Amino acid sequence: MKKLIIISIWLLPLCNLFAQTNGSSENSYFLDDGGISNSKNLLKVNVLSIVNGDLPFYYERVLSKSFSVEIGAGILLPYYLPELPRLITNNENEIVDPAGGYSLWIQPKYYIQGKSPELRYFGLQFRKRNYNLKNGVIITYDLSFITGTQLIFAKRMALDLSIGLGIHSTNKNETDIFRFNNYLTIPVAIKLGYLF
Amino acid sequence: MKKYLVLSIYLSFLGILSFGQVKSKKVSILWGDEERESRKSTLSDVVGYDQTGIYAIKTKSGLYGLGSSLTLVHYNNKMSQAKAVKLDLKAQDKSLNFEYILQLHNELYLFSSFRNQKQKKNYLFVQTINKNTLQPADKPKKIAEIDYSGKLKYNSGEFHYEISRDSSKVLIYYNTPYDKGENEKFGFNVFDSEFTMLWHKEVTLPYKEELFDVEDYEVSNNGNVYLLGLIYKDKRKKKRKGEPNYKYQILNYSNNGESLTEYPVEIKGKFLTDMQIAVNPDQDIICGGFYSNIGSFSIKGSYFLKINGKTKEISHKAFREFGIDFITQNMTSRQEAKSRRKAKKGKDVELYEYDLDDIILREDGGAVLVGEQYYINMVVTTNTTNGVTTSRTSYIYNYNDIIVVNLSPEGNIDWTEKIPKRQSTSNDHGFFSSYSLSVVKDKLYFIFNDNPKNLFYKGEGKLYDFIGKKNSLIVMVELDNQGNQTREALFTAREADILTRPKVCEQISPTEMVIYGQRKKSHRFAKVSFLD
Repeated sequence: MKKLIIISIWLLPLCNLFAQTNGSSENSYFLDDGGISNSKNLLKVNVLSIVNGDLPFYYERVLSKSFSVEIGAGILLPYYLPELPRLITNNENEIVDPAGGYSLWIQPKYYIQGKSPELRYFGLQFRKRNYNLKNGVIITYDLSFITGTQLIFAKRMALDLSIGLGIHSTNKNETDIFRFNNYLTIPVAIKLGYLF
Repeated sequence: MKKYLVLSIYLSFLGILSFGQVKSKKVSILWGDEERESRKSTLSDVVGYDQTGIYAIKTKSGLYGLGSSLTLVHYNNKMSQAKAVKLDLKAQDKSLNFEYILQLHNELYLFSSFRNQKQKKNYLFVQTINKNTLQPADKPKKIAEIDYSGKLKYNSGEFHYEISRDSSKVLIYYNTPYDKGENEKFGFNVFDSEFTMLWHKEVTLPYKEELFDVEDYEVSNNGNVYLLGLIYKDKRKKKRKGEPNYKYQILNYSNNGESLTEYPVEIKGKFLTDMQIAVNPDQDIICGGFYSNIGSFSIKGSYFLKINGKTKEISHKAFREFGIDFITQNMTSRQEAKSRRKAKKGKDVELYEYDLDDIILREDGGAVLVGEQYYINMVVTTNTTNGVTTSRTSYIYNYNDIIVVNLSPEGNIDWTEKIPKRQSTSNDHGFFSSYSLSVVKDKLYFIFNDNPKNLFYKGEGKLYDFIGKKNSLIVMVELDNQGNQTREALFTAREADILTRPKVCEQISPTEMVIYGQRKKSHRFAKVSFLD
């Protein structure tokens, strides 16, 4: 009898534990998504800009329900293809035979359709590209208004499709660093990434 | 100048007096306090009511009208705000999506969902709301789930609900994720009033998803589920070679979902343009709508079917053509002459763009069908300044005449009435348009915003548009059981400092209705008591 009482006393907290877990552990199971819904960071690569000779990587950080900021850095490849619309117009191309360089990107984003970082957004993209040429350096600056859609698929993969309209400024005058040639630019991007 | 000023003051005084004289004596209106709120804030729904007042959901939209926040508000019997709580739907550090709030046997229930990306499941939860704190009183309880494996989470299905007539059963109906080319799939869970599941069924129909639409669903007091489906024959087109290319079908799941009875609803050579179903206290299915001879955009008459709940056979059928006199009601003399000429030549004259809104079951066993003319016009205006041409696209939302069809308890179409109304506003999705309806004893009361010039309209000649301006008049049309209508003024938008939003107004008791209005930053509730 004494044994039974001792066993019961031992088992009592366990029963209590089961009772507790039955209700809330059920919800724990339904709500356990491996932290995907609370993930606030994305690492991405722009696969389309490789065509233009730029290989940038981005980090996007969710700041609030609607806002995020995306920063990026890339290496410029030893070739260059202008973006739209210069690709189809006959404007003189200042960047010939580049020998590499780097690019820097920053874009605050405002998500209008869903909770950031998902679905439709608007952004303001600033981009700087430093091209090393045989006879010096060309720096280009872009400021574009961007609209795009970011989809999360296969649990944590991200696909970010965007298009924009902005000003592309090129400085090739080494003596006057404030002298720019300005062009219209239509940046198009296809970015693939990972949500964590 | 002074003369004009005196004259205009005199005229506006006369105007107020004239409305004052015709204001309805059939109702009393209790106005709540005027609230000053953001222009982005509005009433979403009146979700419940009890002896302490009403419970409403207000939304405040973010930039571009998106990213809205929800607030549950309790208004006391003086229609003044007693408590407001912002709904923060979180469970175990996870944000849940708001679905809806419903009242059942004096309790408020909050429904929320969570899309679990890891498990590829969309879960529906329910929890009660404490009416004093307006906060969830217990933990979320999972009551339904949709598997969206192999699909994006943006295609993870949707949950809908329906309550039986006696509030003893709740149906949670859900669409499974859309999959083109696959057969239509959906599911339903039937609960008692305490959310204990009675039965559950997932159904795969022998129709392709893109060729099947669920139009309506009902749950009866004994837990049977009725689903109204629209089935396209081959392509998703309403008309092929002049003949209807679709049919309606009622599916009845009874015996805890074990038995299925199908009722095809078809009339040879006629287009059934709209249909709604309801289940009466004898568990019969009442089914009514409009039909056309020429296509699905116009209507020529109304029809009615009654399916015996026990024998599962169609026990009664009735059709009635509107007739040229009814069709030409509220037309200008020119439009009327044109329509009559057309009818004389033997051509089909029909009413265009009517939607069936509701089927109301009366206590005497009869029913009433209510429809409204609704269409959108797109207007493109171009302007050339200094050689630069710019164009602007506007969308005009038209909510016009209301049609009421009265069905006798025997199932015959007794009378059909048209309530004249013209509401035409641009780029606002008809925010202040349409009507709200109350059923009081054997009378119907329609309340809507109107142009004051229409107050004495007698069914002939020009009707003036309500265009959402401050000089609008809020009117009430009473329709008795013989189809006689009287139109009376309730109040002017100027004196109440609001325009009503008929789409969110709601009847809260057999003799009371809550109306809500807003204009700019002014928001206001009122309780309309029908005195008859």
